[in-house]
Amino acid sequence: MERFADLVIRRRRAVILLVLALTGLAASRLVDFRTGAPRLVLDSSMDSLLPTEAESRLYYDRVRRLFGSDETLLLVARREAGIFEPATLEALQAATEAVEAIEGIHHVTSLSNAPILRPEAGDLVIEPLFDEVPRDPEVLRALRDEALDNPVFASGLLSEDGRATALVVVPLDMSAVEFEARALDRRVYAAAAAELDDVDLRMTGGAHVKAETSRFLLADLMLVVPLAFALMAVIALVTFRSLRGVGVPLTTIGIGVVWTLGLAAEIDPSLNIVTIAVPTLVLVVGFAYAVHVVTAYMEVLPEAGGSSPAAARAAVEQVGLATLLTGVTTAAGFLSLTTSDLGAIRQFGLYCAIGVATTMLATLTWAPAVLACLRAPAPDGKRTEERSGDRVGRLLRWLADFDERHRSAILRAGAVVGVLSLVGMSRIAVDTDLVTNFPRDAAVRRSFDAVNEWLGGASQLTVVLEADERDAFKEPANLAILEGLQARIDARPEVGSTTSLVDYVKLIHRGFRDGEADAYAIPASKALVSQLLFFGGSDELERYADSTYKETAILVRASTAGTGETNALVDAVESILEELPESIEGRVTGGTVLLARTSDDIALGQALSLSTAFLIIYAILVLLFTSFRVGFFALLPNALPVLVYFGALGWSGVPLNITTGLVACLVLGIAVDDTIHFLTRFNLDSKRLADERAGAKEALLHVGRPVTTTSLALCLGFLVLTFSSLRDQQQFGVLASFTLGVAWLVDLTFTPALAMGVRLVTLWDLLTVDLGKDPQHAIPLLRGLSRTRARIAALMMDIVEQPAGTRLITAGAKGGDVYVVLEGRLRSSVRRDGAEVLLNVHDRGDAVGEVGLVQGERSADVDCETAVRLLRFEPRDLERLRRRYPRIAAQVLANLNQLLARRLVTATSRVA
Amino acid sequence: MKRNSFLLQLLSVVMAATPAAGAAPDTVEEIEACVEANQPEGTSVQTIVVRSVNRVGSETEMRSKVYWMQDEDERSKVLMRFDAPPDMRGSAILLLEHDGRNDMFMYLPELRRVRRITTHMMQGSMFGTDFTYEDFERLQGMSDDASGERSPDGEAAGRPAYVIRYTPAPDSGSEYSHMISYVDQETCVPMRLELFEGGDRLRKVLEADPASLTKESTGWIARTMTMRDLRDETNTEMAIEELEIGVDLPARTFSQRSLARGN
Repeated sequence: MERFADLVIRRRRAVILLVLALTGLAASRLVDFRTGAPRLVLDSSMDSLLPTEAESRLYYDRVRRLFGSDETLLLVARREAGIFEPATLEALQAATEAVEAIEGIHHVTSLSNAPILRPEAGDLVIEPLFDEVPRDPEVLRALRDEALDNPVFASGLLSEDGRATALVVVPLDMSAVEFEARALDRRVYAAAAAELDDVDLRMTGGAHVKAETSRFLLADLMLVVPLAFALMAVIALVTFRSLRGVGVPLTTIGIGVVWTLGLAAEIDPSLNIVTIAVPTLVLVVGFAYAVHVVTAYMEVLPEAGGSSPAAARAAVEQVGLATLLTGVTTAAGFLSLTTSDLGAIRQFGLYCAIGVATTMLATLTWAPAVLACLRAPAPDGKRTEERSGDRVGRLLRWLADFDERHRSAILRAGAVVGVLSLVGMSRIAVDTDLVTNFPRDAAVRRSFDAVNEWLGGASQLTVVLEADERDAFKEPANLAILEGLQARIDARPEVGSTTSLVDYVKLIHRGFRDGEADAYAIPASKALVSQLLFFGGSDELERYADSTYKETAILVRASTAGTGETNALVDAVESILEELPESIEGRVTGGTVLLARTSDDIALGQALSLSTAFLIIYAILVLLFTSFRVGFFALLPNALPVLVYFGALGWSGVPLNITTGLVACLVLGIAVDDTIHFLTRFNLDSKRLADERAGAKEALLHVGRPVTTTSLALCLGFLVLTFSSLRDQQQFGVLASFTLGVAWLVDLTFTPALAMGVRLVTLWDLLTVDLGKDPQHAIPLLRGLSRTRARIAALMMDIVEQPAGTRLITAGAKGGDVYVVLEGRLRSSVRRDGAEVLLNVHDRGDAVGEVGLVQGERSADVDCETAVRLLRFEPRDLERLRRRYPRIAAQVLANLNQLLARRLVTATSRVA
Repeated sequence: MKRNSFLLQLLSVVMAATPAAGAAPDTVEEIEACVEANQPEGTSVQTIVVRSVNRVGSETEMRSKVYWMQDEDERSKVLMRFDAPPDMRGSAILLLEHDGRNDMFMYLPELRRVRRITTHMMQGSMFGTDFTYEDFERLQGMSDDASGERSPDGEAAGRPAYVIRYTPAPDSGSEYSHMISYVDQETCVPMRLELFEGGDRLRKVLEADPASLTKESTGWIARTMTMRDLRDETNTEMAIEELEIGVDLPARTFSQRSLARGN
């Protein structure tokens, strides 16, 4: 890290130019500089939320191909006095034609163009309900009765009271991006509204809801990102009270965001409704990184003699490793999401990991390079903590004492909270509701509710039946099964209407038999069904039967809003389908069904991703702290907020959905940062002070401030999302903020309390600890161990330094520490009759103080002849070594035993 | 009167033997005359097979025997008897062309009833095929309401072709923005017809199979043609399996009674 810091500071201007060039390059991927047109667009399609290769998805795609898309726009016109009135019917006719004329519309079905079979003077007339709108009230009444008597009309195009009628608009097959670029739903509504100006006209349907979601998200993005930026600026200003303190973090995160989105645009030129949250997330996470660097810079500036380059270098040296580690663990946490089956979640994980990595890179390059280039501020003689009145410092000291005094209570409280959270987790409900996600007064939500009320349902499901032979659904027996099934589905309270092939067959049958009432029935023979369908069928039939009549579909319109309700309905229908004969297989599908089913997968996927994230982070922590046990301890402070989060979901009743499901991974990724910052500092301080309790308190004093600042920034940053219009985004903001608050509390209480009983041996220590050449051979205490194990054993003890001429041990004093010489020379002596009697000279590998270990009192004076580096341990260290590394401890204890035996032999021989 | 017109047009097109004109036509009118001059006279009996392939590749087949006669007023009478699929055996359609209006009668053996069908609906597929009424209307004459304009000659099915771009009259109610017809220079058989919808998007293509071009006593005909719907990704092939021209058909063949009797 020293070499890296040196390189960045020495080449700071080159670094700045390189970063700017890369930022320009990334920006060019986002916007076409020549036209100003954005290259990265928003795709609100549900496709990215659905598994691409899953069998259910492939089946849904096939059904869409076979029976047409269910992504329709539903325009519903309602008139209190009824729609069967000349002006309204004429307007309906005109609106149908106007909408159909819009480019991008496949077709429109309404009362004015849907075919109807009507026996008339011995002929069979196939034409729309009305061609020329009648004026005669009697004729209009008859028209109304005829429409209401037509089950196909009554189930999809007309409300039971004749006051509302629907225009079912089927767009051409196009991507959501193209749909929104054309603003097709708005154009459809405008075209219809221009004609139907005297009615209450509402629009709903999957395509419209998704397009509106996209628009709300975009509007939110325009509001939330600048707000988050402004908030970060305010926090930075309050914290650092300088322009550089604001400018450096903000430009750093700005660069991180541009790099992230630039790379995202390379991967996929569109953001989806999940990845849209990435910029905000990168902003707040990146800010935390930058704050650590700037804090360190400000702190070391006085020590660096007011030299900006020196302070910037020292800042990178101080927090660089921790930033790198936190970046790696956070990125790993997010990368775990790439195991999800869902494209949107995979992309979210990848983009967040990229965001973390790029922001970390910007933090370690741009921030110190810019800081080094800036002129140092005039010294005001105050350190950062002093500037803020040291109130935070006092609070942290109080907290450190509190943690020490109530260590056990804190740990027990953590355990209780964990258990309560586990109980709460069992109450979690899984539900994604795109409609109630909108504000209550949003037109899209009010329209959805209105259409549910008027037509009995705005959501569409498709029940597909497949028989084992062609023309099966021309068989009267199978049509009867279909009819029975349809009736049972229709009886469900949440189902507004159902339409199937049977409705058409019966209608055509009645038409060909001159409208006889008893002819509205399934024909007696398959041949007659075939002939009726052949001569009386229309294009509409393609939505209910494939051309081979091996497969058929029942279209169900239901009032279900969220995935929970949809799943319940699908389960109920599937249980009915299980009763079908063996020759017929039934299945429920549709965009809403797939999304509903997927939400369960998402919940499971989140749990799996989280497990993966925990495993990855645990592996990193084990590697970092060279111990499974310490790795586990280090993981606990990260796991606790995640547990609390899920517990809070359960207790609060907020459902787990696509958006809220991401919070846990996010919090895990972020919380682990603060834990690592604390543990890294704790490792340094506990070794320096040779005491875990003191080390934990000292680490809290050092890390508490930036951890608090960044946590505050993160919490407030996520709270900005409460300004969003969409409920899921608001919940995401509140939950993320709450959980990060919990993570902060855990880091200031639980983590130090836990650390007070732990001796860390980091991989870094292991690689860098200096025990001199071949310690396992040169030092008897470490003999028989491998080089690595010798280092671990040493790191479980303390390495201390003493200048020449100082006394290490005083005869008669109490003490049980043992010292092993690593470098330098000691001399032991006793005083006899006022004169010093030299007992021995101790060089590398020799141990002193072992007698004190046994009897607790020093038997001789030990002085440093030269400056010395010593390995110091006491019984507590040996006990800890025994618990953590029993094999190493066994060897060390055996060696110590030998040392004591040899000392005994020497002493005996002297007496002799 | 979609359905009867459709069939009438369909049969007229299928019957449209197209002898090459003596001199190479130059103007749109001359090319149209070359095509239209091929309207058969008299009677014919043919066996037609129509195969439709839906969006997931499933195929259905319809086989029928078509009796055609032109009366002294050059008005067509068509009787179509279905032979397959089996459930349709015995079903029949009778089409009688009148001035400005066509009559269509259907016979459903299972109901033992002849019904006259009338409709004003002009769009939608016919009997599950990719052909619409308008398609066949265009095929026959390309013209009453569409204005043609010569485009540079091109190629269709690897053969030199006259190219005519037709634009429907604004008030025609056509679902197409324009059409491009490729007429074989050697036989005057339309080999390819491209149908464009709004936004100049190519919606359908009708192609005659050059290998199916045969010279009958009255001229050239394409025995097989395929309509491909590019939007819905479906297609329909129509093939003439047997063809007899100038058969002696009694006038009563084209009566409602004959329709119900099955002979």
